[in-house]
Amino acid sequence: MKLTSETKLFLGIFAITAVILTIAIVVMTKPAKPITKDVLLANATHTVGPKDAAVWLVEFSDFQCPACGQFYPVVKQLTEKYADSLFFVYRNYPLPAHSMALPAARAAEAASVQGKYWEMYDALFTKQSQLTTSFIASEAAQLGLDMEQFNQDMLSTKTQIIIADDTALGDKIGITATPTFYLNGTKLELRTIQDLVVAVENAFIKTTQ
Amino acid sequence: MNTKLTSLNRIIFILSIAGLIMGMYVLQSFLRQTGIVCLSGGGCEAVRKNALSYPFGIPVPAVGVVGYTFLMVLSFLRTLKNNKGLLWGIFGMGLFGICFVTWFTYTEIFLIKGICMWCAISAINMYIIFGLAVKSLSLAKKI
Repeated sequence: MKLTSETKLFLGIFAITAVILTIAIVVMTKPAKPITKDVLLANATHTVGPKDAAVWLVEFSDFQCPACGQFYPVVKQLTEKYADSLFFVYRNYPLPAHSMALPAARAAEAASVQGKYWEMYDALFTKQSQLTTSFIASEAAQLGLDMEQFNQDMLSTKTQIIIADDTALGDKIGITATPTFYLNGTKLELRTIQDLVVAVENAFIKTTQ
Repeated sequence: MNTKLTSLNRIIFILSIAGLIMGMYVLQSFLRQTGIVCLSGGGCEAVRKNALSYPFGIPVPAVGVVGYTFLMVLSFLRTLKNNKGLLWGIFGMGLFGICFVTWFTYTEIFLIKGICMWCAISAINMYIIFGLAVKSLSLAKKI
C-alpha cells in the first residue's frame, strides 16, 4: 500500500507524540528521591514521639478534609502503638476549597499557645462533620482555654506565619492533595487507609534488619 | 478529500491526540490513586475520589482514552481511504462523546460539587471535535 503525504504527516505527528509521551511516562514514574529530615521537619511545631526515632512520619493535612478525618484514627493508633519509637509530625495544609479548614488550623494553633494543641486536634477530627465557627468556640471553651487569649491568638500574625510556613513547604515539595504522608522522607502512595499501617510497620521491620 | 476537509481532518486528529494525552494523564492518576495537578482548587481530587467517577467500576478517564483513540484512528484511516463511513464513525463517536461529557459535567457540578480542570478541557475538546465532524459531514455532502 502506497502511503500518501497526508498519511505520512499523521504518522509523523503520532510518532513525535509517542516519543514525548514515552519521555513523560519515564519521568513521571521515576520514584522521587526521599526528602531530607531537615527540609520536612523545618520549623515543625507539632510533633509526637522521640525526635531521634528511626521511623518518622510527616502528615500534611486539612482539618476539614474528609479523607484526613478517615486517616485520623489510624494515625492516632500508630502514634499510641509506637509511642516510644515513632516520630510523628503534623503540618497544616488547609485547602482553599474547604471554607472551615483555615479557621480550624488557626484554632489548633491558638490552642497550642495554651498547651492544648493535641486536644484541639482530637476535637476537630473526631467531630469534623460539626465544624463551624461556633463549634470551634464551644470546643475551646470546653477545653478550658482562656477565650480572650484564644480569640486573639487565632488571628495573630504568629499563627498565620506558622500555617503559611507549613503550606509554603507543602507547595514547595509539590503537594496536591490531603492527606499526604512522608515516611522517612519518602512520599507514600496510599490506596487504602490500611496501607499507612502496613507502610509504617514495614519501616519498623526494615530498621530491625 | 478537498483541502477544507483535509484541514478539518488534521484538526480532529490533533485534538484527538491532545484528548488522549489528557485522558492518559488523568487515568494514571485514577489507577495509581496519586494526586492530579489541578488549577481548579481541589476539584480534581474531589472528582477522583468520588464513586460517581467510576460508573460500572470503570474510571471516567478510561472512557475518554478509548473514545479519543477511536477518533484518532478513524481520522488517520481517512488519510488512507476517502470513505464517508469513516466520517460517520467520527460523527457517531463525537456524538457519544458530547453526551458523555455533558452527563459527567452535570455530575461534577451538581452531584460531586467539584470541577476537574482536565475534565472541563476534555469536554470542550470533545465539543469542538463534534462540531468539526458536523462541518466535515456537511462539506462532504456538498461534494
